[in-house]
Amino acid sequence: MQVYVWRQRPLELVRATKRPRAPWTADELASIPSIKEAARRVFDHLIDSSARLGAIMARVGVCSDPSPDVGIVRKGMTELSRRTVGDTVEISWLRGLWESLHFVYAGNDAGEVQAFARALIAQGQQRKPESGERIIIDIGSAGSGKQPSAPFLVYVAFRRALNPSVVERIPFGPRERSAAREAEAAGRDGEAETARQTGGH
Amino acid sequence: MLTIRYWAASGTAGLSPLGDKANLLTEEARSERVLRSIATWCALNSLAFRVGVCSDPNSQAQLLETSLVEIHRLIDRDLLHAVYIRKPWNYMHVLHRTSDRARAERLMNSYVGIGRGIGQCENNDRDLIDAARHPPYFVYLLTGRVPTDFQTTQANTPSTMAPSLLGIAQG
Repeated sequence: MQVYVWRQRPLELVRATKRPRAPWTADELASIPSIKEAARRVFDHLIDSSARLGAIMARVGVCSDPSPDVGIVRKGMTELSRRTVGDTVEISWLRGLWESLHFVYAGNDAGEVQAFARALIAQGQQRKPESGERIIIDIGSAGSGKQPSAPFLVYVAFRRALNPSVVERIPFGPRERSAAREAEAAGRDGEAETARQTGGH
Repeated sequence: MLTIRYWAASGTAGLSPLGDKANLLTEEARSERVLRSIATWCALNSLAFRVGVCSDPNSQAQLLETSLVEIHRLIDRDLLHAVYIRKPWNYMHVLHRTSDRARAERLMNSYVGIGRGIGQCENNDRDLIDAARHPPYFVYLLTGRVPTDFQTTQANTPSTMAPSLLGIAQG
């Protein structure tokens, strides 16, 4: 899984790759956009660019204390946040095999950040497919977690998806089956004929 | 520091935890007897235990010293919140040695079943460690204090006594 951190520069928003197992630095956390409009633009860009490739599934959530191991998949899960208190370690895992994870917003007020994450979900759900786009977008909340300390980060996880509410059907009845068998038999005969002609070489 | 005890047959008198890798138990009935004794001792002293298989008890003990043991989990949609405890184990009892991996795993599963019937057996399908790579295979039992409720973790201090070193009389 690729993990990206969006950075706010004076003139633009830039996507940076998070190095796996590298601890989060204060600069890294401070450079995540803290302006909501910037995060909205990043989110729109992500949805648009992903949707062009096909059906996508996105999950938006809030976390704090991001883990250095974020992006490393173990048993179908990736570690999202890790907090150590004495001898106990609290870890939040993101379940499922996601293709990419983007940190798009950082804020200091837990309630405000969660409200913003909900607003992003609503924004994504209201998005209408552009003309000619045959996409299905499934956007939802990743779940609520414990966010004990600031900064609170909004993340977006993406993966390609099929719409679970649509039963997909591919016609393959008796006619198709017999045609397929004939084609296979013809293919076998053709291979045997070719082998005879080449003398088995 | 995790203390390792190798259980061996001490002559004809009984079973002793003061063996080494060379004279470790290889009879299933005797190993099971040791396991039942330790599991019962743990149950009486509110200790947890875990059964495992490894190829090298020393390196496994070092690995376990830095490993985390899950004590609580909560699934919330796509998230899983888990609470782990560090260094919960105090003793590693090496119970059995075999060169057959299938036999070692069968023994381990059998011991887990026995352990669950006796006390707080912490074996689960969430273990991330598979340390049994090459023969010989050692079946071990870890003992320590693993809180069942993570809220009480802070109150519990991981100080435990060793199981009796007097040995287990052979029946």
